[in-house]
Amino acid sequence: MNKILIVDDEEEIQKLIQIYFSELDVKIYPALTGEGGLEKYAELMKEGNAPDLVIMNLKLPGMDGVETTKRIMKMDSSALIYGFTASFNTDWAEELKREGAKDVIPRTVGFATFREIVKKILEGKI
Amino acid sequence: MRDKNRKYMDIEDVLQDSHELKQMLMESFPNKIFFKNRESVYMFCNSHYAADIGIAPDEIRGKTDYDFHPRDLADKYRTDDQRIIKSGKLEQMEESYRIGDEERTVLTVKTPVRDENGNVIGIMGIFNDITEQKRIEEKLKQSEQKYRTLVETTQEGICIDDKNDNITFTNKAFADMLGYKRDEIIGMNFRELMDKRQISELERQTKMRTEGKSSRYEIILYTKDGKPCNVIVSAAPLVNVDGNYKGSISVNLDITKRKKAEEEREYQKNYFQALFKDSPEGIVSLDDKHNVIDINPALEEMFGYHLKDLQGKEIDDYIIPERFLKEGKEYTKRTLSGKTVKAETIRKRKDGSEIPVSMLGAPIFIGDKEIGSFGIYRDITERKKAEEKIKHLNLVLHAIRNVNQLIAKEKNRGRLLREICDSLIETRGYNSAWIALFDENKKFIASVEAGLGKDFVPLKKLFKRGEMIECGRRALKRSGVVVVKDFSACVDCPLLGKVPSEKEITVRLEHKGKIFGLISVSVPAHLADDKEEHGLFKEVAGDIAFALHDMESEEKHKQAERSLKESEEKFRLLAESTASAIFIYQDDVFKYANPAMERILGHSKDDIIGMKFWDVVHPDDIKTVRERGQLREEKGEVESYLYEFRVITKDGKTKWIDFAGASIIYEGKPAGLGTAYDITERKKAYEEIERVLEQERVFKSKTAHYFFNPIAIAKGYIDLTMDEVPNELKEKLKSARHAIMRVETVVKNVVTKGEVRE
Repeated sequence: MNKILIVDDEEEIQKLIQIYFSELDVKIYPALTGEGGLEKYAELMKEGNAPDLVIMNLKLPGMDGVETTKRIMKMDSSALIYGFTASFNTDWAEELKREGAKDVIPRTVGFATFREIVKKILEGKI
Repeated sequence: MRDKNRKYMDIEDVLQDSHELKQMLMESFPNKIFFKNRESVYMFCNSHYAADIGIAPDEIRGKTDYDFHPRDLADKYRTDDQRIIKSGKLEQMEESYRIGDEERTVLTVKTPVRDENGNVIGIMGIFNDITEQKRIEEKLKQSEQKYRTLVETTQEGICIDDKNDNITFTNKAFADMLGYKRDEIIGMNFRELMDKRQISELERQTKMRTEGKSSRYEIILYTKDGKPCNVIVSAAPLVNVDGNYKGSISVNLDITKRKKAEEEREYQKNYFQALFKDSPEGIVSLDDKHNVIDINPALEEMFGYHLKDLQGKEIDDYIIPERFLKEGKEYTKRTLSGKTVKAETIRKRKDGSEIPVSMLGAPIFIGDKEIGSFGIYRDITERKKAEEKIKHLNLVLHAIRNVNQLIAKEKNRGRLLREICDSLIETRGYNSAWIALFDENKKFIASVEAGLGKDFVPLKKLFKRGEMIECGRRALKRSGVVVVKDFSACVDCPLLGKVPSEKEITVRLEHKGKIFGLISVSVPAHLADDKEEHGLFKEVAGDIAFALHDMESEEKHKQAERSLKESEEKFRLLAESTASAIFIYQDDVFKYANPAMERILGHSKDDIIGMKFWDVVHPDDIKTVRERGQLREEKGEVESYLYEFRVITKDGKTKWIDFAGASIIYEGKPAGLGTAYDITERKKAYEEIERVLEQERVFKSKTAHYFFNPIAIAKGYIDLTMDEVPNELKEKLKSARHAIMRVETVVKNVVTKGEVRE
């Protein structure tokens, strides 16, 4: 089972992801802040159970998505991180990619499409 | 007394007995004879003695010498008598003897007279007057002394040999002549002194002596150290009293030196004959009338006459050119008056051609009488040519010096070349000269000439037409001096025939590989091929080319200076009028600032110049500016670096400038050239734009955040619900979802395109 760490401060988004991804054979680890996401990644990594995918929002209370991504990459340079944000077409989104995110998935794609993208990512098709 | 003396016979008794006999005997001797008893008392004497003392013979009895002679003489006689009586031995002595006032010399024999028992009873004196004999002896002695002196002092060697040719006597001269001491040579055989080959001659001579003949002959004797000695021997036989040959006496004259002198004379005679015959100089011997006696081959060759042409004739009539006759006759007159004449002049050959000669005429004397004279002539044609060449080369050197002086002072090309040509012919180094200049495409530029005048015009026209003469073509092709020997190639040359006795030499004017043109001069034909001449000519050409190069460089330099001046003027105008600030700083101090710089800083130009560069740089930007400056210096390139920094103006305000710096050399030292634009206002505008853009970005970001997230959530839940509701409701949800999608599209357009539209 794939493990996905979702770092997003929007609780509704966390919920919807849980619902939509329930069809997938994945284990979701939600984090509402950057710091929480970083802590969770470290914890899992320590257990030898590092997430297979990290979904990262940009705008977060406290540490933003760019800094969180930077630190996770520092912790585990093999981490697979994708952005999932409303600020998808901005310099900020570009900065996220520069720090290690493979790509940024616009919030506007809809959750069903988002689920399909994640599926393909996990399958290694993207 | 008588008894006592009986043992002795009385002399009187003895003599008495033979009185008659005694007297007769004594008188028969020419000698003077007396008898004395043991007491030196006269007993008797002969008449010769009595006559001497002025008495009769019988008057002497009982007398003593004190009766006839002075006391001192009588004492001597008495002493002599007593000594002889005592010794009993005969004595002979020379004594002075006085007869009257005349002192004579006598040889006295006093002998003791004995009795029959052998006892001395008296003394008999017999004496002879040897005054005459002594005189003769003295004369003989003197004669012998003269002879000895003569023998010992004569230069000739005198030698006496015995009949076997053994040397029995020599004088010192003979011994010295052969290097022996006299005692060494005496006893030697004459044969030991000569070469074996001459012994037969000696034997022949000796034979002649034995025959009583004298002779004179020449022979070689050898000195002790083996050197030959030529000797003339005058020999005569010596015979003993019975007329038999006992040897010879010879007078030997050393003629080695004379022989050598004769050989020397012979050598000199031969030498002078050889000298006369083989001398490279013409020699004529003349009699006292100045007519030719003999001439040597060199003189024959020099003047083309044979001895038979001139012998017995006045030489002046043959070899003196008409115009030198007066001079020649004067020389002859001086020679005939015993003076030596040395001169350089011109003489003529048999074929009439003239020949420069140095001549020496000198009289020949025998004693005080001038018996003739001789003349020595040397052909100085080559020397004259060499002198002419040296003179010519000196003139050329003089011309070179003039050329160099002209080059140093004359800076106008045309005038310089003209003056050079004039100088080359003024010094008489060359008879004519021309210089033609051509450009790199061999196009004629200009020409000058000297010594040719109108004759040069056709050549100049030829050059102008772009044509070239043969010597010029060859000189332009190579760097050496071109001498045209074969004028058949010069048919196109307008100067052909204008300088008939001369030759033209031409060389290109070249400096550092650049050919400026040609220089050509006319020289005497015999110097045209002279290497030194060529060397000097090339030197002239090189100096001229150097001057042309120098002028060209000068012109280029002046042009560069003009360009620089123009450039500087342009820069000044540009700098003074441009909106861009321009400034130069050196060692961190401003050296120049333009009006735009004044405007930026608010300082006057005079204030800026001398200010420290870092005083106007904003403190926060000093580090950046230093780093940029160092980078530029370290790279060492004269290139600009463009960046922005802040400056502090006179009133303390901050201004942004857009700065471009470059490293330059200013007044010989490294400096920085800065250009700057005041971008304060632009900077402010940019900041405003940035601010607006940031606002827009924040707006978009917030818009996206605040719209896209709820929309996504709404769409998510609608999609989830869609499958759970009846179709009727499903349609309504679709409408709601569509409405949300419209909002999303508008927001997307706002966020991505800044447009508020669906």
